Amino acid sequence: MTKLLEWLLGVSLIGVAWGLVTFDLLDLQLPPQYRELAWPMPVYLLVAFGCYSLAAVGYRVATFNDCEDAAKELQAQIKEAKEDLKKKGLKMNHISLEVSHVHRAVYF
Amino acid sequence: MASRRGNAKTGEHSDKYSVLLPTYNERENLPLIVWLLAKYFGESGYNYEIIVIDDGSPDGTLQIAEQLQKIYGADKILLRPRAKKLGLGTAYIHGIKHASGNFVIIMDADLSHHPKFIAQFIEKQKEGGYDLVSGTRYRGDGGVYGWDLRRKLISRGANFVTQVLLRPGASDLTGSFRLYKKEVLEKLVEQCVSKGYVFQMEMIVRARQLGYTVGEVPISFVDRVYGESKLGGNEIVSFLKGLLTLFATT
Repeated sequence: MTKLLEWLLGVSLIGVAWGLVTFDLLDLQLPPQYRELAWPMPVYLLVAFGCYSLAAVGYRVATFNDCEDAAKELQAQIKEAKEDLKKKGLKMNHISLEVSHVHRAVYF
Repeated sequence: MASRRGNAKTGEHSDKYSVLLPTYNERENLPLIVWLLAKYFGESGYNYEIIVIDDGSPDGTLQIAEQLQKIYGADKILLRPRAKKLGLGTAYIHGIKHASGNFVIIMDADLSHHPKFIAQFIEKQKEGGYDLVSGTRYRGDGGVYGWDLRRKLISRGANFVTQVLLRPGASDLTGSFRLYKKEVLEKLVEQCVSKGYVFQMEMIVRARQLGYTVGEVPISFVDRVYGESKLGGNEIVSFLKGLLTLFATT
């Protein structure tokens, strides 16, 4: 089953349960508090999910590590590599420490 | 002078790691990445080879690769170029055909992925017997260098949506620094139909569906070209399209 179908199935099940309780479709004579609670549930759940999403993404952005040391180490190793390769006989016409100007695919 | 660590010797001598490097206009980065790979593989003692798959780069990448082959040996550097720029999936298929290792490592050739993590991938794989090990920027001390707030927000936001929709069981789906068992990579590439980074996402999703086990290792991603790569509305829309396609078809 694809994720889409899983979602549709899940949403349908929840939808049916909600419909049954809110509109008393099976004539279960549930107490009115159940119906009053169930009726706005979809909106509550959506809002709760929205808040959770904002909080989760916000937290993850805030704790997204910056790898300063990795960048420094890489710079140092680039220098070392170039010297070593020259010794080993590599001939490069133009080596620069600047970023090479190529179009690269976007990275998410 | 160079001492070999004990761990590689006590392990299986038959394990060999083939690093696939698809390149396009990487004349300046290729020698550097090869130097780093040789350095770290040399230190760890694992058996390796590097397969350079150049797609007819006009900047002379292949000539540089030939020089590197003379320096490091034709058993360590294999050149399997192609005539023109074709897709990543076909580059992997092409590379695997010539890989003599039983494990394959895929990574970017532009130094955003650092070879020092490969030993960790290997150890993680041995530890859990994983079918594939994926580098993650989002867990542990993984991270990124060179991204501003906006970029991080887009990345985390996109990943959040991906996690909700696909529930993939891996924290970093668009990352492409991974170690695969060769037969697992072969099987997955056969099955996957997407292009670009969506292809990388599809690989992990399908891997889970096929029951393969996925391990993770935190990695640092050093983005040296951030200022030049544009991540605007178009890219985001195309990402969402790719994601929704995976959502509906996997």
